[in-house]
Amino acid sequence: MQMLNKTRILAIAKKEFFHIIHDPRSLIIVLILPVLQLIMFGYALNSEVSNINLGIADNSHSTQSYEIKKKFIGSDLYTVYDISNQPEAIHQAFLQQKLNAVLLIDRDMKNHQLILDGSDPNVSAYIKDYVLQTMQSGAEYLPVDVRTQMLYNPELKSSYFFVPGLIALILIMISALLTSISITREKENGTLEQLLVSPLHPLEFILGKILPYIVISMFIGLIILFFGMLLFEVVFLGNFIVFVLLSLVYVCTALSLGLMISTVSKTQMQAMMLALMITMLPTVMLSGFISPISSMPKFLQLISWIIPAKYYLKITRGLMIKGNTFTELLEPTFILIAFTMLLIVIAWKKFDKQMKELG
Amino acid sequence: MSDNEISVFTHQLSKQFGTFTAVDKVDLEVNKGEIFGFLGANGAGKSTMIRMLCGLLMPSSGEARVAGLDVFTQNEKIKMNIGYMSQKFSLYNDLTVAENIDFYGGVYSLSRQAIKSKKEEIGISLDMSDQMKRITGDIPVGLKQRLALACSMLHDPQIIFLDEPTSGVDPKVRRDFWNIIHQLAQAGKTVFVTTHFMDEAEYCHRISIMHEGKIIALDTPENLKTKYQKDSIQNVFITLIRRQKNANAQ
Repeated sequence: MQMLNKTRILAIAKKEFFHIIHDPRSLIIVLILPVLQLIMFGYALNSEVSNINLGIADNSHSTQSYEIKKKFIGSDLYTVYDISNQPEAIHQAFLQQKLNAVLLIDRDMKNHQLILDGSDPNVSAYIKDYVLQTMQSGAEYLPVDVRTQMLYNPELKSSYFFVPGLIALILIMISALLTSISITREKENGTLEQLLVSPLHPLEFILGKILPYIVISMFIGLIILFFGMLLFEVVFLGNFIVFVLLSLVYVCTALSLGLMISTVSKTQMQAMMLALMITMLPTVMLSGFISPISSMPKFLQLISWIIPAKYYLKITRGLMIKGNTFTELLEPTFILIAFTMLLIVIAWKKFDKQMKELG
Repeated sequence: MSDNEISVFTHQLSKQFGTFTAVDKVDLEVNKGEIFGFLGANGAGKSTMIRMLCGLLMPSSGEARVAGLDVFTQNEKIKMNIGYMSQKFSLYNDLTVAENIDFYGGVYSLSRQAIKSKKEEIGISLDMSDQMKRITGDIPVGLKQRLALACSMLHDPQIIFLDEPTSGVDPKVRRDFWNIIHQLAQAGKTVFVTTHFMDEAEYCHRISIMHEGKIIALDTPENLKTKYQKDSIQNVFITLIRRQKNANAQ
């Protein structure tokens, strides 16, 4: 293998940079799109419950039961309705979606019952937690007093959960898209052929292509972080420099994924579809972004090992929410570096093969 | 004849794609400073031939030397000695003229100084010194074609391969372009050109006619016309192809 030539790598990088600045409209779209995605995902994914329509059937009519009712009425979270103890009435209230939950206060103040709408288990689980919490607050008369402490996210804000995930998702989508299009464009325009008869080495071409997009993708990452913190009030406990460095690694993984995609696509359209398909759904479903990997069936857990976002999610959540240090994040970092090198080698070899067989 | 004076040499050069033979045992010698035309219908094997000589495609068997370098083993060195331009005029249409020249200069590792003087040279010879900042996609097609040629020759190659350089341009532009080709040959460059315009064949020093992967005729345009007693290469071509088809039918 001949030595890599810096002039040639820079020539490619510079040219790529000119492509970007000659097309300011695309650049603006590339920069604004992530923010829109963040806002859309952020507000749509928000699973916090802001108002609970709670029916209370008081069978006790005692001072104690009145105390409980008062707690709910006094909270902003609930709109309290009186309801009769009849099963039919309760059933109707759920069917007409008037109530989210019904609390039956026991006549003897011993075994209360909470009835929830199981057709939306997520929301109901939240409501259950809230109702129990409200009942327990200042409840010195309850026989067992369990105090839970929620570490890192005491208010259970869902934004703490999805903003780091969104950074991972949006970064990999946009980065993979950028590089995959940029090479297939050269295929379509015939300029690739011109480069193939030049002394340009495929690895020089690939490195030159990645360089300018690293800058853009990193910038996008910081924009999402900024708006994520601004709009969704997410904390950032870890070291910012470590975040930048590890995001750089992730961005390189995503860009090399894009390169790999471009070696198998013939047109820009194909590359675009493929980049979105490979990055979006697997990242959303299998990275632990929405549902925990440990609760997936075994074979999906195995697949999740090759999802780069899975590792980056550990990094972002760790750095932002938990305040992890760099040494605690070495494992996911090394896995991402390994991914990047593997993808670049695959892209390079495939590309090299195509160069020799273009005919 | 010494190696220096033979720019392109092939012996029994073949290329198979699976069971299909695109180029079938071609023998060829192109001299320095010669304009060598490659004629044939689409699919006759012209492009495969040119791609093998440029190092874009590995031949299946035979021998080939370009600028005295072996196509099989000295592929990378060949690339520094040849220029290549296809009908697509591989310029970046969204970049300016100057940016295109800068880029191709960089790809051939030219020094900044060398690129700068090349730019001035191109500006003068193409009469577009004041248009360096124009977006390449906006310049007229004739100018674009000449710019593409200039960009493919920034590294002063001895041999230039032109793959259908004049398809899709009007006759006036084609004529101008052939004038440039002649100037290049006079300057000692070897020009290897494929075309399907029969009238253009008359401008070549020597031509070869390809059919189904084989060279079925190779001589100067004058000699071919005399030999087959036709008034134009167009008619020589038709006669030859017809004979070939009859031979195949029998």
